[in-house]
Amino acid sequence: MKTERIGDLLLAKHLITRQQLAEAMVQREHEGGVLGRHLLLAHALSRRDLYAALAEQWELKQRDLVAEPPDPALAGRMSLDEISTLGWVPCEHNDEGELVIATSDRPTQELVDQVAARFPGERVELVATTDWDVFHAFEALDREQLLYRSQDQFADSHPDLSARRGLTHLQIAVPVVFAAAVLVSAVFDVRTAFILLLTIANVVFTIAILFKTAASIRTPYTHARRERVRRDELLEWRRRGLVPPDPMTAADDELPVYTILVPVFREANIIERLLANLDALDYPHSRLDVLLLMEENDPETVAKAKAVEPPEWVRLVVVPPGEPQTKPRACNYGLVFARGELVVIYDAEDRPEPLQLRKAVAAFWQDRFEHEHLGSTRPPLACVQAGLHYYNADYNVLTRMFAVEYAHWFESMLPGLEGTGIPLPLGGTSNHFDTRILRELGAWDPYNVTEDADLGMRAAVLGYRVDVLASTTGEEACSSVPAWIKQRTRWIKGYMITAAVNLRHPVRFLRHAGVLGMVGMIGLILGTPLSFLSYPLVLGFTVVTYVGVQFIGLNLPVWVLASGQFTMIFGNTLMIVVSGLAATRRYGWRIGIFALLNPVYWCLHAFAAWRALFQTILVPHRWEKTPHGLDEDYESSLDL
Amino acid sequence: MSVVAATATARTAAVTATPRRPLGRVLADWFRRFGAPPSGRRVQGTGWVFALGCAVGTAASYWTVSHGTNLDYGDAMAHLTIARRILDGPNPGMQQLGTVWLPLPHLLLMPLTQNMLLFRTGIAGAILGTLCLGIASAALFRTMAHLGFGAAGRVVGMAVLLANPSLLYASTTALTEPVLIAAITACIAGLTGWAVSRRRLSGGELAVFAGIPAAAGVLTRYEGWAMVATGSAYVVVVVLRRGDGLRRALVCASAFAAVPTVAIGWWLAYNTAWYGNPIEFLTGPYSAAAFTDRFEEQGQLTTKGNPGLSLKVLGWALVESDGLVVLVLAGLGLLLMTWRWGFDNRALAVWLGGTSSAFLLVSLVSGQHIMVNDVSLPTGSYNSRYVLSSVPWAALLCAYLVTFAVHAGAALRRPARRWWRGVVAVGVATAALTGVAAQNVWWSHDPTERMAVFEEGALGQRNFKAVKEVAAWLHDHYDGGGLLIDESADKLAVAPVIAIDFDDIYDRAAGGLFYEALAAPERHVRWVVMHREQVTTYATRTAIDLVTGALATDPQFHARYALVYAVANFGVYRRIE
Repeated sequence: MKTERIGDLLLAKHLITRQQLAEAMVQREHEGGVLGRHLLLAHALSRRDLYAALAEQWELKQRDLVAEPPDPALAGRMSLDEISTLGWVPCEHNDEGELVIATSDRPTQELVDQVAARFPGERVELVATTDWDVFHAFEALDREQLLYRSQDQFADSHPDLSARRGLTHLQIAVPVVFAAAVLVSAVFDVRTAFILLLTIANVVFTIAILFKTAASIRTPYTHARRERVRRDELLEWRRRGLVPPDPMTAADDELPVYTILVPVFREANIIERLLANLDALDYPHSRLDVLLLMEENDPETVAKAKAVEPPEWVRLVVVPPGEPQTKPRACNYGLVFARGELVVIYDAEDRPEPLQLRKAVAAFWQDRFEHEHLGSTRPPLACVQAGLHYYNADYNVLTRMFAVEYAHWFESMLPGLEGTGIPLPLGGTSNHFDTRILRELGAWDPYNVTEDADLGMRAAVLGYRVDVLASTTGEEACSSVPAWIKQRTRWIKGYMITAAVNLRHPVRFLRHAGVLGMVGMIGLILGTPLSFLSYPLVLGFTVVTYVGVQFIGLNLPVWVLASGQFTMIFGNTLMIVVSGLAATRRYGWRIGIFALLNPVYWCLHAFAAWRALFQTILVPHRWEKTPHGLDEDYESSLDL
Repeated sequence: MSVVAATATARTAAVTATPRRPLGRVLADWFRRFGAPPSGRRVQGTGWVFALGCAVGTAASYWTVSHGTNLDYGDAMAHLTIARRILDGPNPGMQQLGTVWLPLPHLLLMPLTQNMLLFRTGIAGAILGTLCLGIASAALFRTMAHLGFGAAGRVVGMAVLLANPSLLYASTTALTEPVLIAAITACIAGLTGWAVSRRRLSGGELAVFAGIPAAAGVLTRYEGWAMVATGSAYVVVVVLRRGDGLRRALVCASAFAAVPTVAIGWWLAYNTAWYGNPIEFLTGPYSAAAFTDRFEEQGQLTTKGNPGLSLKVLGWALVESDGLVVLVLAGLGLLLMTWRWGFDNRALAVWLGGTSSAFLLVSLVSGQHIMVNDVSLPTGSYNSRYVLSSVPWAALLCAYLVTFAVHAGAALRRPARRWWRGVVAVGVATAALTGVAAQNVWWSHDPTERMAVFEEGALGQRNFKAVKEVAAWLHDHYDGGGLLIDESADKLAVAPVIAIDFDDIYDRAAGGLFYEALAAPERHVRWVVMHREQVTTYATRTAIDLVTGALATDPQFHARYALVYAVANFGVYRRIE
């Protein structure tokens, strides 16, 4: 190997200027890593030129793995779990019987040892190639295996935890029998049937409302407690004469590599905006590993992504076709290639707060510190969920209502649940994982259409913790009613299926998740769809009983009338007040006031819930994609 | 001197050294901001205008409440009474809304009237009316902003609304006009904002920002129903002009009309539920039709079938309510607007303001409404206040006239100069405001003769003088034990003056209890108030005093009750104990 430094070599070949070299060295000083990557990030030269120079420095032959692909049989002997961490790939045996290894990493003794450990007794010839070649070579080597891992491995290894089986016969039978029982009893005694049905609906509705309200009421306490702990910690540092560390200002070279998975499907129109939004993140690019996950049957998006020539820190991954073609399947596929210590999912239209990754790192560091040095007894942190808000909240009435709902969910209810031990259902985006734990959990279930909520519950069951991150991501609220209905149908269906999956063995679930886990399962995962399903009964009942029970000739008992009207009025008022306050705090009164329309908005929920119920029984895996980029030319006038 | 003190002194000096802007510049900036074009849905100054409307309403309320004139109208007292009865009384419930009037004003008054002080003084009505005036002001301001009127036009428009004595008076009472005016101006503001928006707003926007106010109008007065019809037509025209097709037009019109339709549906269901007839409000014994029938039988519904007389009566009511000066300015504005804008979307939005006036004209011709004033046959003073809903329309037209005049005046000097435009704007606005002020000065010399709304109020004051004396006496001397009174009888709707707990009152609203008390008063009530002799003129035929009918000539009653106070034909009886 030549002793000449790569910078000098590139200068000598006139591939870079002195200024570019100086700037790259400054960046390396700040962020760590290898000089070549900083030069690539700065667009100082092409990847091919860089690796040609490296090959010369390493005194190795250069190889183009696209033109000369490796032998799949040889690479197949390696574990897929390793491929994201290795910078080399076995190619074939040459004429001298040596194993040809194409490497994008410096050919150190450590690398030779890695090869020897996997191919013992082999004589090795090293050739140089680019990291891009290694990545694509691995991707092309065993697509079947990759597909299996992303599609069916979880369902095969954890059949009880996967939604692939859908509902059990018993789970289908219960609602059918219930509906039949109500109909039959209505034939014989309509009054009793009504009383029974309305009472059940009211009880379900009330429980769901009270659960959400109680969580919201607890939020100020959660914030106060967090603040108190922070203050106590600061005082303790000061008492010991130490300067409190601030993870937010951690040196760039201390930060871990962060993988960002961005599944995109038929969203060619927002690729450029997506890259701009990610570029706005305050995180060193040399430590970013963005995987743009596209579907092979979406050539338009693939072509667009290639056309915009994304920066060095973005990798384009084309997921092969398969079933079910869902977002979790794409994420599982991408996770195989994730290099980061932490991994986060963003939707294509997301606008995360610039400091969000640093805040997530701080949260994981804090948890690790507490476990390693303070003997924390809390379950290890598997995930932090950032809050979500809508940047197009004031686009139309539907987006306003959506914003009110999200403000309540992410900034009032979920923070209130934090620290209670009740599992938090994850939102579909901005959930930051410890990559190792995520893989250990089995990643996402591609057969579950709300794989996020399911994963949150699974993490709790398997002894991990999910926390709320004090950071938000701007999302695009669905602004058309038909698209909203489809999206909400999928979400509610996912909750139904998640509940069904986890409650296949209720006792086992209770044993693993504990009482609080069961409370979360019933109050949130099961309670949410049930309350929406019962809403038409609760609302309709109130309307009918007010307009006149005389109409239908039902002489219902006073307690049914009173409790029904109380539930409807009290429940809706509670939700209006709580969500209105949360939305006002987030967006201002112009959005918060729309909480008054919650009772109407819930009618849409109810429609979606009943649609979801039928889909859960008939087509549980159907993924109805929500179109994004509807509001490309729109900029909110809200101060967010 | 310490460093801190020195720094503070330096800061103070810096603040003191900041050059003070000349007053003229400050006013000019304020004027400019007041006339700033809207930014999306935000219209700068809306909050301030709302506050101004509320402040003017509060000042007017202070005046009328302190003089007791806010309860001059019998209807105002009746509205307060109905609102309180919903929760208070021996037979509370939604059925107390009845069908005489549409329900929204009563529902809005309901929480306020539960407080006896607010109920007794009529402040409950003043609060609602003042808030409605604030809403109407803000809505008018937003409409003018959306139509592109400058600061001068907006100032004059606001002045026409907020300096109208009749409207201000109505806003201090519990009458339904303030609610209706707030509803229709808010509806027009919503429709205008939707129509002129650069972005094509959704049907949901229409439903919320125009449909909900329209629904409020629908549940307040029947003029609101007409507003839904013209508003829907407006939406269809705007969408078709955009080239979005008939389907989209119908979708948007449906979105606009959805909430009012639900409101109408609810009203029909209410009528069905409580009276077994979905159109009880149209055909029932307490309907407007039944009321006007009485006048028709006497040959006094002279506007029916007579468009000329109807127009004359309506026109005179407009002159006495809006003012001749305002009407002339508005007429000029209408002519110029039609010349410049034709019937484009902006012009049609202004025309929407005339919906209620057109509805009133049709109602007069068809005999659905009765209005009596100096030019009607016979003459008198009755219901002229209905035309107050035309004030925002007149305000819009006057504002257009001023905007036009400012543009025309500014164009006289070429090249255009900002200061010249400012001078013209101030000059034109001052001229218009002077006209409005002169109108008010002329009115103030004889308000009860020159303004129909005040005239009818003064008439009510005279007509209710005796019964209010009786009611006030009863309020002072009532010592519990229950009161039997037929509040639906002629002139007896004075519950706010009596001001006792409604649980103690046995009137028709008490349902069966009233008739039980009527049959055996001594078992139920200590006090009885009634006409000492039944009045049986045509005017009171549907307002017969049932208590008088049952007890006035009953010797048993007179043996057990003593007349303790009387004024004119009204008597207060107390059980002999």
